[in-house]
Amino acid sequence: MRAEEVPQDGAYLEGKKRGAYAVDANGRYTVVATAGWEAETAATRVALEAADAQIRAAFDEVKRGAKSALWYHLAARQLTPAQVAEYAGLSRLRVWWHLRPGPWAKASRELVERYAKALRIPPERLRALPEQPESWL
Amino acid sequence: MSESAVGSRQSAVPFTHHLSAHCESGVTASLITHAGLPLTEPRALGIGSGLFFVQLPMDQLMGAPSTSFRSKPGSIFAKVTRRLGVPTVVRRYRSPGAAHDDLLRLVDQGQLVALQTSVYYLEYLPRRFRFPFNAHNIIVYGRRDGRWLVSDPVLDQAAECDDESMSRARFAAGLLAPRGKAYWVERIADAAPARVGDAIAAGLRETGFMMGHSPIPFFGAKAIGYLAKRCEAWPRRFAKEPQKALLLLANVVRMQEEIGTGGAGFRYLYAAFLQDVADTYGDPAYARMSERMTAIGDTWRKFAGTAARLFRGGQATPELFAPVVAILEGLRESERALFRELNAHVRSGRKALPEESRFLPRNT
Repeated sequence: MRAEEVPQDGAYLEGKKRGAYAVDANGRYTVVATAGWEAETAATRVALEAADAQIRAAFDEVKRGAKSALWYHLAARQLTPAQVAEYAGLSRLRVWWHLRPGPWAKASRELVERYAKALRIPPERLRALPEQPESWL
Repeated sequence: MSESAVGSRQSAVPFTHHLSAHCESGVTASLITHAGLPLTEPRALGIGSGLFFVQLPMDQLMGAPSTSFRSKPGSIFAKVTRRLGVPTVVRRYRSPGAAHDDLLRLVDQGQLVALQTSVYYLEYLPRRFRFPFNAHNIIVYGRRDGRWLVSDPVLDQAAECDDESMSRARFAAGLLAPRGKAYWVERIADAAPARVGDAIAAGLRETGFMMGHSPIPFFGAKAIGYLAKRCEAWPRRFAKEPQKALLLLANVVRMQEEIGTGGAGFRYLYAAFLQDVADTYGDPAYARMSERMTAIGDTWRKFAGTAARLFRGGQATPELFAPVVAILEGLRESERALFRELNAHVRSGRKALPEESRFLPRNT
């Protein structure tokens, strides 16, 4: 790839630039700053859409009453129950228990605060669903 | 989380941020250059045998793509420093507090420290790239107003990071958990500059052998053919949910381009390295291999472009996937031939290195 052909048409770098290697006018390789490539944006978009589908599915499950609100908040942050267990210092079994609506409603304030700290959201938001599922797009 | 903050005291190591393509080779090149032995990013990648190809026999590995264009995270730094005989320190910590205090002490002593982090918690990165990936390497070169001064090699400018995000990034859980990993170069041994030539040969041989001769079908050029086979099956396997087939294909393109590879899954970076080797050894055979590597890189870009048209179409049928599969099969052949030749050439030419040019690192 030649330096002047390095694509600058990415949409997801938010004005930042990163490095790509390309050949300059003398045939030497150099590092060129690039704003991204639209083919790569298309691939990222597929992955973000898949994440959004997961979040929506979790949202619906919570709405139906099959899972607790914690399940939705995990999906929205793309975290697994095992990761949250480690961050909050709880056993995996306990996290699994709190993914059920009944036990989550009865969870103590201290426990919810522990999850809130691990997920970095205010405890009152952790108890309930937002109005709309969040999006990564 | 750490109780003690970064503090308002200021300290910064005199250090210039350089834009790199890839985090680990960029960090390795910066650390060694800063310690006194000029090393370019392509050289770090080449000496550390960073180029590779892996396709594992499952669709996803704990939620992460099972395709990789690189060797194991952490191996570039380990191999470069071992091959150059550069003494290093690598530390992991049990608690974020201890990791924080140690970093504070080192930075105030003027030590340039590299950290393994999770991109998920690095808030200076663009939002959509902050997926849970735990093996991102950054350099901390100082602190100011309670924030860490960070040189992230994949960005064109230096950044800042608050202490809480940094602790989280260093102690993220999941696949390849960093466990607070911090590493740095102690000093450059007097013998190191003289070892550059041999280190390059060792890096070339390993990459050539692993890519061209790997007996295991999941690694090396053979694995590209294996990926082609898997890719061919996706439209049929997911006939009822084409989005899943497209997601798996998108994951390959993301590993190739999005994660910071310098384009074409490190192939352009490696072509840059081969060009450098041709000058260092004064051997035009490497220049020809560099040109072939560039052509292979262009084919990988074509693969990504063809795949992107499928993503926009939203359909997945065997007919639509056929051109993508054909490109991969072609790449298997061209990469296998090139890396076998590279391995054979390094082995035959080892004794014939011109002595004087071995000691001169180029374009620094």
